[in-house]
Amino acid sequence: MSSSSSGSEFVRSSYSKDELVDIYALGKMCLETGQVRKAEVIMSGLNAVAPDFLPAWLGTALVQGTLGDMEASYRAAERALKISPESAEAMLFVVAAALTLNDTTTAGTLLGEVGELIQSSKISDPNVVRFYKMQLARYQGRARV
Amino acid sequence: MSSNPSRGPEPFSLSPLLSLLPSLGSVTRLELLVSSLFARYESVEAIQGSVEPQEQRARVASEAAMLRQILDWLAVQPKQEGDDE
Repeated sequence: MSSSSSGSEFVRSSYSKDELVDIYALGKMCLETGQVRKAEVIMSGLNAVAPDFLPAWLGTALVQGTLGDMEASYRAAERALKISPESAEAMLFVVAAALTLNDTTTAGTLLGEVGELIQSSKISDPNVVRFYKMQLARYQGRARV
Repeated sequence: MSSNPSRGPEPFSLSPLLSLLPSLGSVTRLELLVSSLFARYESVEAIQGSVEPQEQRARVASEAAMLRQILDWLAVQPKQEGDDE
């Protein structure tokens, strides 16, 4: 490889789907074990080499939220939602960040969409449903204020 | 409530958002990728200083940091600058 390469072809060079998910698994494991900075490095790397890889954007949203940068968390979650507009998980990550940032309009809109998905039985994951209910309660608490 | 204290709290109650992350891939499979990851790391390290523009350089740096992290976890020591061939 030429050392004067712009690098773009290399950075985008084909990590296989299997490689991406296995690297992501390590990033997720770091999050699960509280190694947030290590998770940040891995998720950011995945964002760089595979900008359309949704799970890593969700991971980045969680990392940034854990580190207290809710604006960055919101941006990462929005990016995930852009990649997959039907993803209830992405919507709920945006909702969580939006509520922390007092953006109740965005939160309310997305909660409505997730609610519809749940009502139409398009979502059955109990964790998604539980998290939706938690965020709905947060939203209703804010809306009353 | 009938929860069993010896089981510990369920993941959702510890970190609800974490439970929303997809469960994909396998860290144990990374061991099979050591050679290719190491080769990628060396290639990225080699071009890092010469990459333009700035945005692209940041991407390469992110990739290099990620690969270094993985290799550290796999206990593979990336060659340090100045080491012999």
